[in-house]
Order: sequence, then structure tokens, then C-alpha cells
Amino acid sequence: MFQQFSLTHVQFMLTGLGWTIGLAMIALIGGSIAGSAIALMRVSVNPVISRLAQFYIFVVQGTPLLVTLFIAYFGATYLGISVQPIVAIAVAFSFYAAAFLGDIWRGAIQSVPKGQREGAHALGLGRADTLIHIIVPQAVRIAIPPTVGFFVQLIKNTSLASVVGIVELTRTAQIVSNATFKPLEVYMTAAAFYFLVCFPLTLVSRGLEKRLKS
Amino acid sequence: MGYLDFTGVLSRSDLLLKGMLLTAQISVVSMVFALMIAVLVASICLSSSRLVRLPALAYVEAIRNTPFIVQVFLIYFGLPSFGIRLDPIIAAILAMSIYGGAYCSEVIRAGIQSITKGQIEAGRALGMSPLTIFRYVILKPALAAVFPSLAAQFILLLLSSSVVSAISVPELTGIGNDIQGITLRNMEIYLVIAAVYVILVALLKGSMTVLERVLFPFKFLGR
Amino acid sequence: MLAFIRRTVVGVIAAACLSSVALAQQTTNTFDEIIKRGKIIVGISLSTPPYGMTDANMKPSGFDVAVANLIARDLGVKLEIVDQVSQARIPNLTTGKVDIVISSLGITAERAKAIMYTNSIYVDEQMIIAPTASKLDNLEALVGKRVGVTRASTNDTIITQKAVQGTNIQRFEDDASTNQALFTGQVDAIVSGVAAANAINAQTDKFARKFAVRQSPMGIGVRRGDYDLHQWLNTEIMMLWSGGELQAAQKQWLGIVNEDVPRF
Repeated sequence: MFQQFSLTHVQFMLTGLGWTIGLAMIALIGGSIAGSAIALMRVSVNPVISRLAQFYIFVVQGTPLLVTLFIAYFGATYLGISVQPIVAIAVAFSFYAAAFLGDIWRGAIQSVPKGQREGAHALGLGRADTLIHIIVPQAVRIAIPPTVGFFVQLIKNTSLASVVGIVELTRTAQIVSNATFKPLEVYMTAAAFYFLVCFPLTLVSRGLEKRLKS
Repeated sequence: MGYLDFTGVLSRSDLLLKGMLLTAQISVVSMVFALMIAVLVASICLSSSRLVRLPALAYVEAIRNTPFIVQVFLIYFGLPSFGIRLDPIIAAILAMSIYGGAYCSEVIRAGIQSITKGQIEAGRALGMSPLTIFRYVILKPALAAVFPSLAAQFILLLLSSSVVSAISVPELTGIGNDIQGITLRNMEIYLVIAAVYVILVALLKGSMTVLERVLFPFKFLGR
Repeated sequence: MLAFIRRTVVGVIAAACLSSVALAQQTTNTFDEIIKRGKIIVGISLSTPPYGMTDANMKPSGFDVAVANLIARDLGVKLEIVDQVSQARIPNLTTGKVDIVISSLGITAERAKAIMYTNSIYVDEQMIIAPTASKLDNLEALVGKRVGVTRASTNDTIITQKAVQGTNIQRFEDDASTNQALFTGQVDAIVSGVAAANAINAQTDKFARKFAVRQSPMGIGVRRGDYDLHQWLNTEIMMLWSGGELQAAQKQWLGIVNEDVPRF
């Protein structure tokens, strides 16, 4: 009744890897949109707006992703929205990513030296113009390495979607491990897949960081 | 369904409290071990010999580039293939220590690298032994410099503990899943649990701030 | 964005305040909807062999899948399977993510408060499975032992009820993890159904059934108030039984055939 751990299983796990990367991409895009809003709110001079963003970051970063996923998975229906589980999960990952990206990008914006802002002011640029033309281009350069680093975190963290039954790489590993009862081999294979995707990205992130410093 | 009813969840607050305590216990124990691993690995990573550095670097990269839940499964379900069977709580602490150790070692390495050569030479000039220099001239100021980053890693470690419910550890999330199974009130239980985690994180953040003042009072001189 | 966040926050607070007011009351008739959309969405756990699993080509298979196929065939609609972990079976149904649940779902009085059950499609027996050499003949013998069980399953309910104080119950997310814990020696015994025990014995004779804890009939889960669908499914189960197709599915996947299934 139980099967040999074979190439078919590895192929099945590869389709799971596809979903893993897809889910991480969606979270990166959704998280970027919401995250830039959070970052801008965070550096706002209006203390209420800044506090609101800070509160959002505090709550999302203070909740385990697994619990966030459970809330999203069951929560949408409570608010009267009917969606597929995978959609609810993708939205949850985007909200999660927004909190971290918002924080990373706020740091990047604030790390641009004050003199730049003052210089732009002296040249007669308004607050918005200063932000768009002077601060953001420099902040983006600073923000790229940690953003790539966070993308690696996202790829790894999509593994938690397996717990609510989304068939990504870790869930395929569970299914295969169950069909073959070879947990060590199967999970090592899954770990290798994750490593092969994440490690090059880590190296890219580190390379960019080094270039930025020199 | 469709409405919220917290009575079933809150009437089991004794169970939740138990789960919360276990979460706190395994997290704190893992933080201590993670810090010990991190100091060791960071020192090895800064060795001048490539051969010595390589295993430490491999450990850090392997852990940082694979998901925590897969590491947990490998330790709990994989190690028995080598005849090693660990109690779920021990397996959880081991997994969290190994995981946290890899991340913290990067932080500590950055801290050690921030110590200038001049400081070490000054230590030597004062006739300090290499061990004394490592402890007081390198490690303590390095820890002081990166303490906020270290605190952030500890918070991530606390949150990662929710994952070990998958290997039957009855910590907060596991207890929550159990209560969900009995009351079938999924939304209520996870909202309550999320709130408890936020409180735990706030407590941890507060204690780390206090700890920083106690351990490194020199950081706050003249402020 | 700010307005959106504000609206979300207000929405969440409102939801919390209206704690006893129904927000999403069910008005649609699931039976009509299934026919209209030409597809039935069935929740099945695919990590619960031999009820739900994947075959060598990674296609869903098992007893629950076979029953789902028969039902879709007789409804004249397509079948969509939603894979789910054990503990998500009832929430998925009540929150409308699936039309029905066919997922080795044991009938309990507690669950029947949240969902409606059809007549039974299979009667399982919860048993203790342990290494063949071990001597675990009754519930008292389990005191001080580690007993693995799948969280929120019927097995969990039963062992939690019946276990003698001092039994160390360890709960896992799905049967895959529970079985792995037994195979890797991480627990001394597990609680499992007959068919799951057969599946284990087909793989190895290192583990054997020790004693039965209780019998438990399994049914199909339907949302509360879906009477049309409920009635049709009961009719279908009766027809599948008298035509011998249900017995055939039991024989093929579970290796045993019930003498009869209880009806109500």
C-alpha cells in the first residue's frame, strides 16, 4: 500500500515549490504596495498617522505568522467575505509583509542624512518634492538589500501555509512523507529545495549590501 | 456561526494560561542556549583559518536558508532514523536554540567586528590575558553595541515557538488548536491567542530594555 | 490607504462589538447552488490514508474520495476536492469554504451541535495500536505511556474522554504526523481507526492492534439548515448501500465491509 520515495514524488514536490514561490511573489507585491503606505505614514509629521502605522507594525510583528494565518483563514467569512482559502492566505501574507517592509523602508528613509533634506529645503523644494526627488531615490538604494533578505524570509515562511492545508512545498513533503513513511529523506529533499532557492538570493542581498557600503 | 462568542474560549482560560507559561519557558530556555551557540559560532566565524570557519558558516547558512518548520520536522521525525528520540519539548528547545543561534551569531559577529583593533591592543598593553580581553574588551562591548538587534531576534524566536505545536508540544498555539477542536470557535480562539502573543512580546521588549540598563549601564552614562 | 485602514479597523471593532449579532446569515440553498454551478465542492483530508490520500500519480484517492465521486456522479455535477487538515474540517464547512465534508468524520453529539450529519457511510472502531512486542492490553496499561492521536479527530475526543488519569496524550496535526510519531518511536502507542490500522499493517508487522476503545460511525457533514442537500444525501446513501456500491468502496479501500450501517 505504501509507495517507494520516487521521482514522481520529487516532481510533485517541485509543483509545490512553484506554489511556494508564487505565494511569496504575491506577498512581496501586495506587501510592497501596503508597505510603502505604512512607511510613509510612519515618517509622517502628523503624530496620529505615525502612531497608527507604528501600532499596525507592533501588532503584526507581535503575532506569530501561524496565528495570523489561522485568523485570515477563518476570519474572512466572519466579515461576510467569501473567498478561496488560497486567496485569504495570500492576503494575510501581504498584510504580514507590509508590516516588515514598512519598517525596513522607514529605516531606509530615515537613514538618508538630514543634510540632504536641509539642502533641498534651502534650494526651495517643498516637503513632497524633497521626499519624491531627493529622499526616496537614495532610500531605495539603501532598502534593496534588506528587502531581498526579507523576500528570503517570505519564501521560508510560506511553509507555514502548509498547516492550514495550502499545498505548497512543505505540504507536498507532508503528503509524500505520509505516502512513503520516509520522513528523513522527504524532509531533507524539501530542505534542499528551499536552500537552493533561498541561498542564491541571500548571496545577492549580501553582495548588494557590500556594494552599497563601498 | 458568523458571530463572535468568547464564553467557550474564556471559560478555558486555565488551559490558555498553562500554554502561555510553556511558551514562555521554552522561549526563554532557547534564548539562553541560542546566545551561547551564537557567541561560540561568531567567534569561530571570525577565525583566520578557512578550515575552521567553514563548518560554522555552513551551519549558519543552512539554518538561515531553510524554513523553521522543516527543521523541527527533521529533528523530531528525522533523528529517530539515527536512534535519537527526543521528548517533544526537548526537541522544540533544541530546534529553537539551533535556529536562534544561527541568527544571533550573525548579530554578534557584527558586534565583534565593530570593536576596533586599538581597543584590543590597549587591552594587551595593560597586560590582560587573551581570555580576559575576549570577555571584557571584545564580548561585553560587542553585546552592548548590538543588544537591540539581539532583542529583536529574541522576539522572533518567541514567535517561532508557535510552530512547535506541529510536533505535539502543548504550548499556546497547540492549546489554542485543542480548544478550537472542542468548542469549534476558531475565530474567537485565534483572536485571543494573538492578543496573548502581543502581550508576551510587549513584556519581553520591556524586560530587554530593563536588562540592557542593568547589564550595560555604561551605555546610558551622560544621557 | 489611510481610509482603508480606518475602515478595516472600524470593521474589526464593529465585528467584535456585535458579538451576538449574526453578520453573515445563510440565505442561499446549497443544493440548488451545486446544481446551478455544476460542481460540488467537497472537503477531504488527503493526509488520512486510506480515507483520503494521493496515489502514485499524485491524484486524490481513498474511501472518502470514492464516495465523493459517486455522489458527484449521481448529482450529475463535477467534483472539486479541497484538501484540509483534520482540525479544519468543521470550520471549513461552517464558514462556507466547502459544500459538504466527507473526511472520515466521526459522528459525535458535540459536533452535531455545529453541523448536521447524514446517515452513516462507515462504522469504524477506535483502537490502540502499538509495537507488536509491547504489552498494552487495556486503558490502565497506558498510564505513564505516550499516546499519539490526531488533534480534533474522533480518536482524540474518545481517548480524551476514556483515558485513565496519568496517560500522556500527545496531539499532532494530521494522521501523517501521528503515524510518523509511532513509526519513529516518538510515542508508545497511537489511537487509530480499523482501516488506518490495516494500512499500517500492510506496510509492516512491527505494529499491532492492542484493544478496541470504542465504535464510531462516520457520516457526511452538511451545514446546518441545508435540509434539501441533507435529504438528497441520505437518499443517495440508501441507494448506494442497496446497490452494493458503498460496500464495494469499503472493501476496496478499507479492506472490511460493515454488516450494516446505522440509519436515523
